[in-house]
Amino acid sequence: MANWFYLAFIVTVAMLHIVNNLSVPVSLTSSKSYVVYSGVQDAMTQWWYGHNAVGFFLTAGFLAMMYYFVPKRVERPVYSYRLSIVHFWSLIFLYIWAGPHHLHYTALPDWAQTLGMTFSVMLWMPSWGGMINGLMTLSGAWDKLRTDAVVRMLVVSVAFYGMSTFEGPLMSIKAVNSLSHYTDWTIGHVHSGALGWVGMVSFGAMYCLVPWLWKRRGLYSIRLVEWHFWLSTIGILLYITSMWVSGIMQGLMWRAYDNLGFLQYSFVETVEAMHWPYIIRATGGSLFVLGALIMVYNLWRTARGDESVDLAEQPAIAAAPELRDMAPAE
Amino acid sequence: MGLKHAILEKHSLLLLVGILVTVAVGGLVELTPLYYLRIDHREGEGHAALLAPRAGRARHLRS
Repeated sequence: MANWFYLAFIVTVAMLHIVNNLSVPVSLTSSKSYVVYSGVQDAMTQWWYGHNAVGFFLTAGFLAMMYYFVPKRVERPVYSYRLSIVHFWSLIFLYIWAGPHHLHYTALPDWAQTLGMTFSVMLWMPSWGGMINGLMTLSGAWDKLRTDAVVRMLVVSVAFYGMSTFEGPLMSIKAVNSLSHYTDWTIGHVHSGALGWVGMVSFGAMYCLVPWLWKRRGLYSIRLVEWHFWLSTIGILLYITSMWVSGIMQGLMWRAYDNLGFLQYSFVETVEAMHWPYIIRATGGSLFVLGALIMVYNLWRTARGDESVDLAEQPAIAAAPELRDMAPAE
Repeated sequence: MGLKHAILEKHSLLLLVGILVTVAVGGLVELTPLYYLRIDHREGEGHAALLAPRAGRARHLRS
């Protein structure tokens, strides 16, 4: 299943790059060329490219990681094979239609905007189908959420995936988008995906991979993983909640009129109002970076072969396959 | 599953073609009509048309 998603990621990103960059050279001997699209067709092509190049890399590519590492780490089969087939085909089919939601209230014809919005809302279903398939893989192994910080990292990542794939369709609705577009709400949405989903599923995968690849009995320290987990989770939460507050405030201030019909706030007043959300955002981001540095240290010590400080607290699966059934060293 | 999905799982080239066909649809439907539909704006309405959604926004006429 992971490989289907990897292939879709590679093939689709290639298609997007080739079509978006189609251009005609001005002469055989010159390197100068012009893009074949112009005007609104160009805008549509670029958002078809832009939305999906990100989507097929950061969604399909990382869903592949979820489908591989979650079952591996919890030692359970994927919840549903059928659901994974439905999830895969419906996700890649619907996703590619969502580009026009970046062009609401522009020169792009209304029918295309509405189509983009509608498919974005429909995309919620395969997204949550995938989330359910990932989370329910823990059936019969829910205790690992308590005992294995790496599993917790992977699961919270999938939870952030569910959160941001609900938020995305919401923001694609024209009425919501007229408030949210150009504000920090978008920035918050992107970061709950990038830090929460993509970041944490990658961390979980790295914590699995490093001991396996360097043939170690486990990670240098699972307690440091615990620290990383809480620092990054709290960091992301501070980040996205401050961006919700600042973004919605920004959007409301931009559209506020006084009773004479003038805009109530100048732009700089909206910037000033975002001072505290920005401090909270920077704090959250710093916690996330701190967690990542702890991970680098932990993985470095693991790869170097330093003796684990808390091997007894780690599950057997943390060890490289050839070391799993052996008695503890010396 | 009634659908013989195993075929696609065993032949990566078939899966590749299946993916390409599946992801091509959305772009074709959303992009190609923009080339044969003429997009008109009512003359003289300018900004007012934008402030009154629906009333005077882009209308699309077959050329």
